[in-house]
Amino acid sequence: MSAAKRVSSTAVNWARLAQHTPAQQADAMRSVRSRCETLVAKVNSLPADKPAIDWAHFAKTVPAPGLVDKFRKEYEAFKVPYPRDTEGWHELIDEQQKRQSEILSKSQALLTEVHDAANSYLKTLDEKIPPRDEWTMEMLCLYFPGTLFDANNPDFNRTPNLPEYTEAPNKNRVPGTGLLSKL
Amino acid sequence: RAALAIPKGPEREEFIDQGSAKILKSMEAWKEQTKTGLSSVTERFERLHEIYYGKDRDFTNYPPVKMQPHMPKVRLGILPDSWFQAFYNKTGVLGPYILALGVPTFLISKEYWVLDPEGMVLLVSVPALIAFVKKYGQRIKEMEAKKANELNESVIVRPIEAAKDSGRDLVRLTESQLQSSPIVFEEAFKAKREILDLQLEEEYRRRLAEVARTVERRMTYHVELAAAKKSFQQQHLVQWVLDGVTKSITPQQEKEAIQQCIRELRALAPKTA
Repeated sequence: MSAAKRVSSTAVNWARLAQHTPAQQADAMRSVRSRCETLVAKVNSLPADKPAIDWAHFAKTVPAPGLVDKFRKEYEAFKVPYPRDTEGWHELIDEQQKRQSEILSKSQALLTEVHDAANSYLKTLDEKIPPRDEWTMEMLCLYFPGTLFDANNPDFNRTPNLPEYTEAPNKNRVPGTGLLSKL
Repeated sequence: RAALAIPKGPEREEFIDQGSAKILKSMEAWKEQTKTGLSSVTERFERLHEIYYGKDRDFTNYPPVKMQPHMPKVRLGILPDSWFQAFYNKTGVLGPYILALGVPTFLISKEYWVLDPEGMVLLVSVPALIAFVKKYGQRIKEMEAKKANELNESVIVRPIEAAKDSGRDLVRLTESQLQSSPIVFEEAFKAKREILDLQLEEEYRRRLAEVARTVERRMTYHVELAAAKKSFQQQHLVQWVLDGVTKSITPQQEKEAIQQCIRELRALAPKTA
């Protein structure tokens, strides 16, 4: 399944990934990164190839003749089998990637649609609005329906019944700092 | 070590999907909502712009009425300049002033304008008004201009700017998502595969270490065995020799040894005394 042995560092560009993940996925990204890095540390703490054994020392001290040689030959000849992915996790990940890439392309299409709509909206706001000194009451009525400038609105041209219009000016006035004192 | 079981059946489908079908549906609903909102505004503004500034608008007979920032030019504070311009071609610069001087003179001389005691109030009221306007006129003008500007801004300028800001926010959001999503997708799957491969690699290295450890243990066992045998033999021999020696000590030899010790002690004693 995997003939390539991965040695120490990760092939993922974590800085780039951290830069591009949205805020609500930052925690998940961090947990994946920490998982990956603990695995890398674990892998690095274990030997990369068949560890060496001091045969000379054993040859001197073990009295049985030929035992050390026999063990040495068998140790060097022994091929440790690389563990195989028996359950099919790699295939599962491939399927997941295929499905998610379809979803990604669909979502990119939706985002481009909204992007274009937003751009045309900005263009309209830049070009198709009268200058600020040429507005009339009629224009306000028609450009902003549903607001207090709309003549069809029963609250047309009235002060809205909100605290900031009814209470605050009288509540927060300070006697002696009115209009007359500024003359 | 507890291993994660590979999902089967509907759980496998759920794992592959990762809740993305629901997200896509909500995205589509968001797209529809945003597009209808934006397009309604865009259509309305374009239609109204066509009405007010389009090809059917007559700009020559009906020019747009602008809000003037300043009042038209006046002379002496109350007389509009346009009146003076009307006279200019016929009477020159001094015409209106002579008219202003001549008409009251004529009226007073013909007693059309009777200067009675009540009229003396003009001597006070006119200078008073002029003084008031000169002292407070500028200030009042500035205050009113500020109020008008504030009204215009709050009603027209600021709402439009807020709408533009929200549009720009949307553009920025969609752009960043468009740019980032493929990168995150690619790197995330690289990470997933890497975690799998690192786990396999860890298991392989663990096996290597285990094999070496087992062989080394076997060898050390033989070494320890030989050493144990040798030390046992050594110890047994030493003990046997010692036993032989202690057994061979006769009572005669013992007595002689003790006598020798006493003699030596006696020889030493006088020296120290």
